[in-house]
Amino acid sequence: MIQKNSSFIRTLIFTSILLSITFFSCNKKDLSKIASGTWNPNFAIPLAYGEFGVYDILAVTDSLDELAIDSESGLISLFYTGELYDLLPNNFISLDPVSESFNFSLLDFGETPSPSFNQTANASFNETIEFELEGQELHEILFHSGTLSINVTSDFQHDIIINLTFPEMTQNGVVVSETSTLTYSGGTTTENITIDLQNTLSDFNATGTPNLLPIDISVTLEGTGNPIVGTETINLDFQFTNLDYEHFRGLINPETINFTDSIAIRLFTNITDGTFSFTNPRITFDITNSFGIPIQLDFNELKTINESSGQEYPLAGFNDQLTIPLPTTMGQEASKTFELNKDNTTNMDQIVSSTPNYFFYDLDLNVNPSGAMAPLHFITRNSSLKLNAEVELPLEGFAYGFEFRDTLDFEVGEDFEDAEAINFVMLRLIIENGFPVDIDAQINFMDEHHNIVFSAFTDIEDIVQSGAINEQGRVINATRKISDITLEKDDIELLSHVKYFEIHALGQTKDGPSETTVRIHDDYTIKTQLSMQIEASQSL
Amino acid sequence: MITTNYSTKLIAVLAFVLFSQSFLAQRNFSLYHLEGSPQRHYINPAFRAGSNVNVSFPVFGMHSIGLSHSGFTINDLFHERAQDDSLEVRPEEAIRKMARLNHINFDVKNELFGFGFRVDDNYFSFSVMNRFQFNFLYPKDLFKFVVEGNGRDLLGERADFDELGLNMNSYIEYAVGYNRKLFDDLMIGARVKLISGIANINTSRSRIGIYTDPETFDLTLDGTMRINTTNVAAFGEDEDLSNEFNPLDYITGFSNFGIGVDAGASYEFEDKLTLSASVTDLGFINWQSNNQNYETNDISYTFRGVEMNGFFDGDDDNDAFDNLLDTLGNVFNQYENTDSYSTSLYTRFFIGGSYKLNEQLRATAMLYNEIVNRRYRAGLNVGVNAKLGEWLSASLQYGYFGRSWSNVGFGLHLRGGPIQYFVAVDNVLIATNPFGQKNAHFSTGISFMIGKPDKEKEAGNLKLDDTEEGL
Repeated sequence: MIQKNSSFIRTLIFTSILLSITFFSCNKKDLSKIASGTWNPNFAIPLAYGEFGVYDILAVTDSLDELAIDSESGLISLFYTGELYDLLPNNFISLDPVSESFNFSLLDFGETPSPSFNQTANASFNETIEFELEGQELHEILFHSGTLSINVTSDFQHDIIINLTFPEMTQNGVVVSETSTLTYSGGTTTENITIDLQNTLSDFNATGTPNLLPIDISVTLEGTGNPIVGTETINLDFQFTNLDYEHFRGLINPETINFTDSIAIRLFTNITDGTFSFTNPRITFDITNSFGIPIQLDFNELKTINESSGQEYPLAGFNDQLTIPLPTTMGQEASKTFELNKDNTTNMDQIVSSTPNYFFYDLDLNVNPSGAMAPLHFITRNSSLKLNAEVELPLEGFAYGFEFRDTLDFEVGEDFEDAEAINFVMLRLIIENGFPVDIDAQINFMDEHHNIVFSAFTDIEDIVQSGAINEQGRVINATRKISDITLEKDDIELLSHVKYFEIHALGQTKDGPSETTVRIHDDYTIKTQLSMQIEASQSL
Repeated sequence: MITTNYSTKLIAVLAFVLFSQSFLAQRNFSLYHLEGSPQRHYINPAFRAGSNVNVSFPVFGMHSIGLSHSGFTINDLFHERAQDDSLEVRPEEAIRKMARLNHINFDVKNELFGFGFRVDDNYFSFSVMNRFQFNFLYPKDLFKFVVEGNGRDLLGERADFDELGLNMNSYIEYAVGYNRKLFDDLMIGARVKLISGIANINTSRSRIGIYTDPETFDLTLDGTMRINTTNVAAFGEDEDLSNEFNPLDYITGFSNFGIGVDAGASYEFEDKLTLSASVTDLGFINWQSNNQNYETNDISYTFRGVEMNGFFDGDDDNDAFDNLLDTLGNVFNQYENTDSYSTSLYTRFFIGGSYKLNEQLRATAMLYNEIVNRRYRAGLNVGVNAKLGEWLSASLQYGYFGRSWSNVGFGLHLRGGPIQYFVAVDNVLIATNPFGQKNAHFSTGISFMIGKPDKEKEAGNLKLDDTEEGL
């Protein structure tokens, strides 16, 4: 029993000693000696995404209001419009002030000098007032506004009664007539008569000679018992002022009005080169005329201009004269649309192949080209001749070799010093393209002298691949392309030298060099997504 | 014959009380086989003290504290460099050692008061215990996402943050126990507990994940979360709540009422082999005072970056990001309520066996199981237990728990007169190699044991007293 107890106690003591030794000889790390460590994460995050249709893309080039869609097929056309000319009434007739004077003496009354005159003497005169209109032949005017001032002066020592009748001027159907009495009160007698010409219809050809307005003047001399010397006169001074017409009838002399201008074609902004061919481009002239005057439009020159290269492409093989439609009734409008297309020209499809920036026109308006005397011409105060042109480019055709270049500023942020911890950055561009367009691109990072520091790709990379098309050139399936731009540590370190980056892109339609026709429809979209993978190595 | 007088035993007990403060301990693995300790009754109600009466007073009663981390050790994170003795941080090595889901557990048990007494074959007990349990679950992918990023192994995979959660339990339990010897070989026992909850955090639903598309790098966030809390808002910034909260109100208030049951049995085969089993903390608590519950909607959101269309429409940078924030605000919705809720207690199962090698030594084995927040974990250990008369018994254990095989436990029970002291350390290696351990558990306590042991055993005889220990 004692042996067993002793054995147990020895075992217990040994175990205690062993535990004590291990307790005091512990293996512990000294955490104060932590010297290093790295945090080496790799993060993949999406940055941005978008889905763009035709409307979104054209909005970037501020071309949204130039887009039209065929309601049946959905085919898109671009329209570039311009107002070529707007002819106004003042281009033909403007009414300047008119003045005329008439003098009457004792002889016109058939009387002789008298020391005392108590009788009544009458005299009547038929005169005309001429309206000179720069050689235009005036037959009739309905005045919109105007004033006729008649100043009568008399040095007879007797009362004068003046009656003025304009037999060819009517207001609301009533002949214009005015009577005025000059009562002698000593010295020269003066009287002023004012007639408002608003809504006054005047016939200037009643005498058979145009531009003349007849006037009947009746003067009555009523004796006051004063003498008549014999040298007395009565003077009538007519002033037509502030004249404006409601309508004009007459004959406009032949003349030629020339005008030149251009219409901007923004589709090719920033595109420096390339071959474009549209299947069915058109130039449409829209004419609206309310002048009752024969006018002929002569196309002196129609051409497109590429501002960058200076190349000009005149349009050829088309009828260069166009008769402006003529309204038959005053107040009416006559309209006409005239289209130039590939069928009535010889090179319509070619003039837009040069990626032009402008459509230029040089036109002549020949007024009354034949000089005909009948029928009479008419002009109303609201008459106009509007000439608009519209360049229509249905987006159907092919293109290739078109280049896009743009240089943008680049500046690394203030936190760039932390870039030392970055091992690499990979930018992933995913494009799901529903347009029939291929785009190859290169991005060059340049220093302040525009020297290339490094490039995004080894060579120009196809980043956008055309969607699959059917026989009609319509896209039936979108194509997805993933492009990775990897910046290694060396490239990242060079970013501090980069001040600009240049995007250089080459584009073509699907199989453009083979002249495969494609169509752009309103339901096409292009989906883009930009993501980034970044690996860093940060000391702890 | 070895004689030990009363004074020697008392001095030995006091010495070990002081010495044992440097130990840390575990899930009561060592205590389970530590014969003579009345505190074993708390692990298996079929066990009883080796005295007629036992009393534990406040402060001197049983105190148990445990900490475990199933993920990585300090040694996994810091490595010595070859060129010198400095340390290098290698978080990727720590990640490699993690399981899919890892735990940090911390629990404290304080016996505020307890007593037990025997009447013939019956044993009655009563105890008041303070319980505090903390549990943090974290998924491996969470660290992987932060340390390695989502651009390597997680690319094209769902970063699994499911079951990320924080749980905390604080309550007082009042237990009444009874065990009885049935036949000569079978002992059964049970304890019924009335529980007064003090504070709680319960992650009742946690499902979060981030999927990174391998091609587009789109990030898809999915998941939902619900966290219930009781009396936690009092520790926030609201001074009114802080001033209102008084933990003492909940000790006897039972405003958060719960019930728990412990049950156990022990059977002896032919004086050699003893099998025992127990279940502890089977029950629930209903939390209903000062609740603050937070819940999110089912989230499924894919982040694809900033939408570029807005820029082409004339929006500036702020508009685009404002739109993104508005979208996120609509996707992530949080709901709050003060509804009551229930939580289960941290249930544990013990299955143990011991084989009598000789009069002093027994070989022991135990299978430990726990269910914490619907998660099951198990541990296994083997060991030896030695008993020297009435006054000393010791146990030495080795086992697996918490994804660690380096668990060497040691327990000691000393009895000097009426004073009984025990200490149980489930992983002594924590003292020698703290940075290489994942588990630490320590239990100690003093109780007063009154009543002589079975008179058949002579003083100082190492023969095991089967009838007293219920083994």
